[in-house]
Amino acid sequence: MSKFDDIVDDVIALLEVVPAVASGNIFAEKPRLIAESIDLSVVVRIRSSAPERGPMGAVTWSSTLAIDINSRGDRPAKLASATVLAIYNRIMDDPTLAGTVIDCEPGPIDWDFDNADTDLCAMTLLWNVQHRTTETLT
Amino acid sequence: MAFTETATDFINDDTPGYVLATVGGVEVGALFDNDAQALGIGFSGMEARKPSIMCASADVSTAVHGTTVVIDGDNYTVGNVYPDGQGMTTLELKTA
Repeated sequence: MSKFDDIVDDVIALLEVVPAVASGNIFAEKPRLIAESIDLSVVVRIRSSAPERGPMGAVTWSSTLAIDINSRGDRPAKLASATVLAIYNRIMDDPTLAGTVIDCEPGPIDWDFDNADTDLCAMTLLWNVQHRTTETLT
Repeated sequence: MAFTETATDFINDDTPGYVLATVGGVEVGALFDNDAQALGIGFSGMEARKPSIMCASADVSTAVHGTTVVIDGDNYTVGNVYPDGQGMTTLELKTA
């Protein structure tokens, strides 16, 4: 398991702490449709990562972590607001993810909308996550 | 000889999807479509339904955004109105 997997798993574990955000509808890297029966959900994934070699054989990785929030209903972005706040606060309470990473820095938020039998919203919260490894990955 | 289409030739109980819909309090014949669809919103996309009815334009000429629609006891409001300019109009519906 790579450090990238650790980051995703640690964020999910943080969001699953009772009371879980989005009623526990939290997924890792879900490249499949959010089911019609789910009104509010969260997907956690690494979007990209760039390494930078440093002294003493250390490599610092700067990764973009994406947390997607999908909601449906009237004013779907507003329906997701409490979830956005909970995600933000839980990560910012300990931006090292209990020592897994050096830091999680909040980044831009994107909103996307569509309509169906009800209105839909997909928000993406981006985080700049830094962690350090040796030059040889395990 | 000019060719003239009549909407009722296509919208009747022999046509799959035919329903009697109440649009703004008026009962009209319509073709109802409520298939599940994959919407490409966000990273994962979302399953959703996009209910719609196709009617003779003359039957739903007063329908606007927000007009109430009842189909088989289910309540909707009109979300979008798409007249095709050929005598038929599709009303996209939102669950009320």
